[in-house]
Amino acid sequence: MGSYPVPIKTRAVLEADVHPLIFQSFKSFWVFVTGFLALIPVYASHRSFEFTWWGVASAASWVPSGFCTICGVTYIGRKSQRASNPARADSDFPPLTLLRRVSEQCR
Amino acid sequence: MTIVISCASNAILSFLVFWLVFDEDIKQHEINGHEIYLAPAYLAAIVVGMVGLVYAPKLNTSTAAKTEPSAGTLSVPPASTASRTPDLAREMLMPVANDSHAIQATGAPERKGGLGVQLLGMLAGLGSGVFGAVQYGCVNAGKRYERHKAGCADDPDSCPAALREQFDNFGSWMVSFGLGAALVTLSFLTLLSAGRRVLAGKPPPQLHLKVMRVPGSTAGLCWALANFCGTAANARGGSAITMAQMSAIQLVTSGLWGLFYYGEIRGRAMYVWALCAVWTIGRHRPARAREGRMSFCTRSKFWLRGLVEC
Repeated sequence: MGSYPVPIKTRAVLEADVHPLIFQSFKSFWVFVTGFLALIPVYASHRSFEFTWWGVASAASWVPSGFCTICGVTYIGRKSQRASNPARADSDFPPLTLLRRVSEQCR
Repeated sequence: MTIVISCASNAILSFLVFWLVFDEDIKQHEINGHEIYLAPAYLAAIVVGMVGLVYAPKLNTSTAAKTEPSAGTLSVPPASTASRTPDLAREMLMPVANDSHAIQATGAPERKGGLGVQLLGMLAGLGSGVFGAVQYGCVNAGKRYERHKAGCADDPDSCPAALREQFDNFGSWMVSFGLGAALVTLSFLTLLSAGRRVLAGKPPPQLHLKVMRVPGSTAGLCWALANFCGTAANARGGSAITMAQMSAIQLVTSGLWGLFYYGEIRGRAMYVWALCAVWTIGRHRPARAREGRMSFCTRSKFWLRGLVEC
């Protein structure tokens, strides 16, 4: 959870000034898609899918929570500090850059 | 500050609500013949650690400001120079990380940090923490309510198979949550688009598909995985304790990115931050009643699993 804001702080995303709800929509999309992966063990063990509105209630709190986090952290909090670091803001895919940095250190 | 407000409010609210309202089991310690709860003290210690984690990186800034009286007026190289010599630029930008000139030098959008914005940031942090606590609370509250309705609150194993399936983290729960996330986000997007159109006469917000494709998907997948693990940890450990653990480890993970990837924390601040991280993680002493009966091996596995999950 602590890693998910990292890709959003790339220079391109900051410059595009993406609306927090759009960012949240990408998160929701992947939660929606990966949620269906859970059907594999359900049907593999000959069970059936049982819907519950508590899942929707939980998601109804999760979306505003994510929205508030993006507004608070990305737009008001650490954005300016991270944006002021050109060496890191230029990278496009943080995990690869991190790996490169680690391998440089090990060499 | 936003992060600490979010994490602390999330942890405290989850702990109080699930301990006092939902009566989750918390380990009692016997000291001088008195049964007392140490968990609130551990929680307070975790919050202190969280504050330290957030403020430790600022030590460098304050130190630089003391040793370099003109730090606030440092001339910042233009963006082209900064990109050619990133290390030098980082060195020069570090003392004035919050300086508006530094932000302008990168070409990134700048936002004014007035009192209103700070207040808004704190409110956003509080909202994030409260809603986050409710999100995970729904899992346990829903499970308790449905078990009570089905008359199997005392013996969960005797609950109907359909009920157990509904709250199965590795099954139907994730699908219900995913469907809910899609429904709620679409509703919010519709409301936002209608609001912009009616109130301000503006078009709906752009998707920025080209820009957001990779970072948006990476963030989404990171969150989906974290949410899966978080729900599993929550179902196993209860909201009262797990939320504080997750919030603290979330802060430490963010800090590790800042330390190793962004290079934001260096020098004395790095050691203070590491101390705060060890303190925060170290406060995660066994607090649930059933952990008291665990063997050392089982307990180690429990904490290792918690770390991996978070």
